[in-house]
Amino acid sequence: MTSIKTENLSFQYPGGKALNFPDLQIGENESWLLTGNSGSGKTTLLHLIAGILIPTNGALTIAGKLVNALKPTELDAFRAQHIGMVFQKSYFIDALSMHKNLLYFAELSGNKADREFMNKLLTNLGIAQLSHKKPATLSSGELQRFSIARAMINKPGIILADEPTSSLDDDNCKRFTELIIGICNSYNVTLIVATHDARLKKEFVNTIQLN
Amino acid sequence: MLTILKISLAKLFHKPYNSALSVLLFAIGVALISLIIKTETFLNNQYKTNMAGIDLVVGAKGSPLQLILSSVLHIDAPTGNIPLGEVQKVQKNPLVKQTIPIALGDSHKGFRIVGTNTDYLQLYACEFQKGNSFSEPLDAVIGANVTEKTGLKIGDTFTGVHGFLDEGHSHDDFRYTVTGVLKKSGNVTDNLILTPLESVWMVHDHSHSHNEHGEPGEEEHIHDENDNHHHHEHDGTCNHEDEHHEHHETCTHKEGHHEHHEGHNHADETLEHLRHKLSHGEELTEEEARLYNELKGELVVKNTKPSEAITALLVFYKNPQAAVSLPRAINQNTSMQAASPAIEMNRLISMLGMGLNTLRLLAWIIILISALNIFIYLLNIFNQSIYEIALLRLAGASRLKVVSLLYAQGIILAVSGWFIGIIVSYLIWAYLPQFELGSYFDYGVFYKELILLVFCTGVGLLAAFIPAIKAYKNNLHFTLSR
Repeated sequence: MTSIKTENLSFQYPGGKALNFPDLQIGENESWLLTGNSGSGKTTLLHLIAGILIPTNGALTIAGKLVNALKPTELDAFRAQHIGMVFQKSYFIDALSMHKNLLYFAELSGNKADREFMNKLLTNLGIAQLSHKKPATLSSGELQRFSIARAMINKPGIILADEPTSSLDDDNCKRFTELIIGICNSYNVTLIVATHDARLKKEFVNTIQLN
Repeated sequence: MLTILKISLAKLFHKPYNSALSVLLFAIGVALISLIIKTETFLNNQYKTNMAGIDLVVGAKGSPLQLILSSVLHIDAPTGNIPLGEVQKVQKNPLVKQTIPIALGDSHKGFRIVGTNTDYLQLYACEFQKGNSFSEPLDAVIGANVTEKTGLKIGDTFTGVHGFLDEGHSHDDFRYTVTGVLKKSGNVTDNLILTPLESVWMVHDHSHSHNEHGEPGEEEHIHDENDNHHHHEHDGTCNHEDEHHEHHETCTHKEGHHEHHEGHNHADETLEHLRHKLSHGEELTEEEARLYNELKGELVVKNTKPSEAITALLVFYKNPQAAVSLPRAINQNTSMQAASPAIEMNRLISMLGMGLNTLRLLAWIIILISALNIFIYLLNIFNQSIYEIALLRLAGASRLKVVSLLYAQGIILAVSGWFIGIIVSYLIWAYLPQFELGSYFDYGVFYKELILLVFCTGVGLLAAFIPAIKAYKNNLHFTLSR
């Protein structure tokens, strides 16, 4: 079943050139690599899929729902339910432990946090023993694994990762990539990783190339 | 919303020094304002309670405010004494409904002994927790604070000392007996020892007789106008031509008691004659002018027996017309002064008001500074947590939730400041010697403090307004793309 479908999708920044994207048909539980030069629109496409940006033209359908027809408040709820995101830097609330960061993140999205699911996820990611710590005390690799956990906490159908390995060394990069692909496979989640990190190319079968 | 509150608290506790500074500044401002509210209310309540409908106070010439403070509120030195002869004229005035005499001068362990009659107890609607009113000289009815602080109880005896401090000379020959203990009433009677007028006269007459016989206690008769002691200027000073008294010239006869009184009568007549001349526009000779100046305002007081003097007379008018004519008549035609408690207390409150207004201004400036401090603090929090806010939005938190996160922090800081400020103000109030926390909880004050809470909440919201607007307008795509 198709998870993400785009048709004639384009976006124009105010005063900037229009970005036209290829039509996509991405199925459930598929992992895709989104590559392209800087300024080619990788992040823009991810943000369009996440409902952070509204396309100027075209149609975006996710899980059978026309996303670009949703109102802003509906988009917030839709994003909370269907989308998880991982970024290059892992931002967490400094004042909270990692456990509370994840818990409150789930609660703010309006979902009741599934603690059992969260604990199992953290165990699978190998960071359960670190969940009582605060962000400032963790390494960037550990934080990125918590980022995966946060992206997964609401049990979304899609995970979008924007340059997630740029700040990781080779070992951490390899471990992170294996983990995120493995987790997405385990939980039947569609994964799109936008990157220009050449180290990831061999890990993905499906690639979207933006020019 | 609970999650927002939890996150807000966690963020504030994460930077304890910054948060504490904001709260402290707010608390100082609130404590100051709260203390001002309490002081104003206390003064107004004291005014209403202790004035007890007294229309006029008649006493020795001097500061009218001092007369009111000493004779009604019992917090200042008396202005002097007035003779019963003059007092009786006031009592017989048709415009006067009722009068209550007051004789001051002595104290016991700092609590004033007030010679008066039982009307004074009725005036303040005093109720007894134990015992009965005084009936005989040297009977004493003590206020609730007196029994609490001194431990005196029914049947106990004690002596008074001169003045209102413990260092005064003790009247060891006369022991007062406690016949009644008053219930706490929140007015001046809590801190007074009430006794019949005759007690005061008896104690001081005896002192005089000691003096006349050259017995110990002589020093207590050398009082000047500033002495706190009951001003029992004595005719004995005139009986002994070689003694140390300076007003011999007012006594035209030096042969003895009988002649002395006649001499005072003569002086009265002389003064009256001179007043009459002046009132008819006649000029006085140099000798007459000197005599007039000597006699005016001095004679009546100094030719009075101690047993004939009181410190003040509390006057109640028969009708409002009295307010127009009686004070003027007393002030112009007698050696006494008449002071209106209402006017003098308004004057006092007005004078205090200037000081309180300055303090109030200072408090508002502190609150303004603390509001600016909260604003800067929250703006920094916003700038530092711009990615956190973006992530919360990404998690599905609405703009309203994100905005409420910042508003919650502003409100928490302001309300904490209010709470601590109020607690501090009550603690300070309780530690002030003349006030007691338990006996002074005023719903009017608390209502004003609740209004202050609403205001503080508003200040917290205002301080968070700009950071919240920035959070509301935060461009998620722009922030997450950086």
